[in-house]
Amino acid sequence: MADGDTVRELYEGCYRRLVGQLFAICGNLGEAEDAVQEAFVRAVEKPRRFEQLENPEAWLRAVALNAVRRRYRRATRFHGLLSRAGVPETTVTGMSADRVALVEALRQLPFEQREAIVLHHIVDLPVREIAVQLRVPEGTVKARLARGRVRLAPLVHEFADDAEEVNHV
Amino acid sequence: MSELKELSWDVQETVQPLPFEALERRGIRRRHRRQALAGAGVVAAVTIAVLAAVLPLGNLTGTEKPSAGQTSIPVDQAAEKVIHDKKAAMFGVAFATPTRWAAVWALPQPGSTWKSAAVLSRDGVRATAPVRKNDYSVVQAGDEVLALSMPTSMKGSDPTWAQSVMVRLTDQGRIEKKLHWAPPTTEFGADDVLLASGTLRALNLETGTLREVKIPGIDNALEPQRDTTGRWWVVAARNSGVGNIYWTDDHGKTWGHSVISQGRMGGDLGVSPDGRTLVVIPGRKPARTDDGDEVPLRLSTDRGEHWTTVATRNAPYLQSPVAFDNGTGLALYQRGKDRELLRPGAGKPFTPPTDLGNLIAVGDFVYGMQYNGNHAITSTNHGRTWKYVDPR
Repeated sequence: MADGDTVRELYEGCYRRLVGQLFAICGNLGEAEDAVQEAFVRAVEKPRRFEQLENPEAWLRAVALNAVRRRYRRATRFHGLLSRAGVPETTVTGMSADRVALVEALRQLPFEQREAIVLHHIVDLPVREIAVQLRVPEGTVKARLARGRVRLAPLVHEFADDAEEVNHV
Repeated sequence: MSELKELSWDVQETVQPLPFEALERRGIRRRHRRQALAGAGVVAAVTIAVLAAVLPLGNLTGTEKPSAGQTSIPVDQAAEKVIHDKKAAMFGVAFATPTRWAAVWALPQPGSTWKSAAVLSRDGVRATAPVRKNDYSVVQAGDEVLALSMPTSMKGSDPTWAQSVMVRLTDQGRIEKKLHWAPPTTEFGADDVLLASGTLRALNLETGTLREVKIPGIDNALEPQRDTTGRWWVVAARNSGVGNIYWTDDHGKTWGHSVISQGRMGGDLGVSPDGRTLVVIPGRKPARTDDGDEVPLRLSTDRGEHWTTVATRNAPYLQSPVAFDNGTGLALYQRGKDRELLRPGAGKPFTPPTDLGNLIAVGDFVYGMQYNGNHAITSTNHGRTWKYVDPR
């Protein structure tokens, strides 16, 4: 087994953080937890692979993100819609109205834009790394970020400049 | 901090992680299933898909020694070393009668491998199964339990057949027998024991023959259970298909089946010893991704002719249905701090032990594995009270 202590330490150290990041993408706490738990289960399941990772937290996040992405794609096919709403629930107890609005705004973004926004502005990954992870050109990542920022600008102060630039065009 | 980061931070603060051990066990079990399907090991889940029997706890101390009349059973020092090592983990336990049980113990080794051994106990007599690299499964077969170290795959050419072994503790003493491959079959012997390890397998206790059992139109079968009428029940499906309950009264010559729940894959089934009471949990809908996917817990007291829904709970937190001859059953619901021992046909739920990992019933006796430790957790009153047992 992968050094069980290593996986456990990672679990104790980054489980909550990963759930917070995945929640911002999928807008559903249960789904975010399911996805992150799945990632840890896989770490235990394939110990040799996990032992060889240079950045295990990044791997866990990628696995969790893949799980969320797969569910989103199945959901949109099932509903027969190119839905931008994703999964219908957004429940975290005690969330302020502003937070709820932000979560809703994120959910209204196309999934790819949500992914890019969260990876860059929450996880703090550089564009190049996001491009590698999502297997798209850097230009595509930048475009997704730009469009996502414009739509979130009313709710995210740091994106206010993006809205102004668009308005000036 | 930006609003986005604050959002993520706020959510983190509300998260209450499951105990790591719960995920660890899932990962280990999944690894074992994968290895069995890929031909690289043996599934510990088989151990769990086993019937057991009532156990008078006074006889299960974990410290049983061979009685004076059985001192001829030699002590396997290598096996004892694995079983009693501080780092050893209990991977499975099965009961057949009040005083007959077996448990699998595994010890991690360098290179992410394991050594596995098993303890068998019969009416106060104790024996072990020899150390193997391929994990053991412990199986109830009638009124006895077996320890099986199965080959990596079911291919006849697989070299690990040479190390595969079955150990029984009978009234004639300890019997160790190599397992032998035979071609897949659609029918099996009247006395064969069915096992689920990705595929369905039939084991002949007298010859040690192990072979795959093919159910026409089915790719996967789980949870074989036999009732006292001789009927075998399994949950089965095509790959990615809707879960069905399958049954045979003629050793695989013909199979009846009924859909568990339209649009849902897989499922869990508990069958009472007399085969009249069934408790079933449908699997998840493949397209549902949110916690709103609730599944109905269903009960039948007429062998599956009619069903009533006794509760609905979120999938996949509902598990381990078991059934009793008195027309009631149990199922385990665990979602974070929400923990219930649901009692179909019996009344309000009980609160289960916090570390109860699963449920298996044999007669009126119920047991499960401690998910964060090495004990079996047992109940003789349909889950009202529980005791912890160290099966060494």
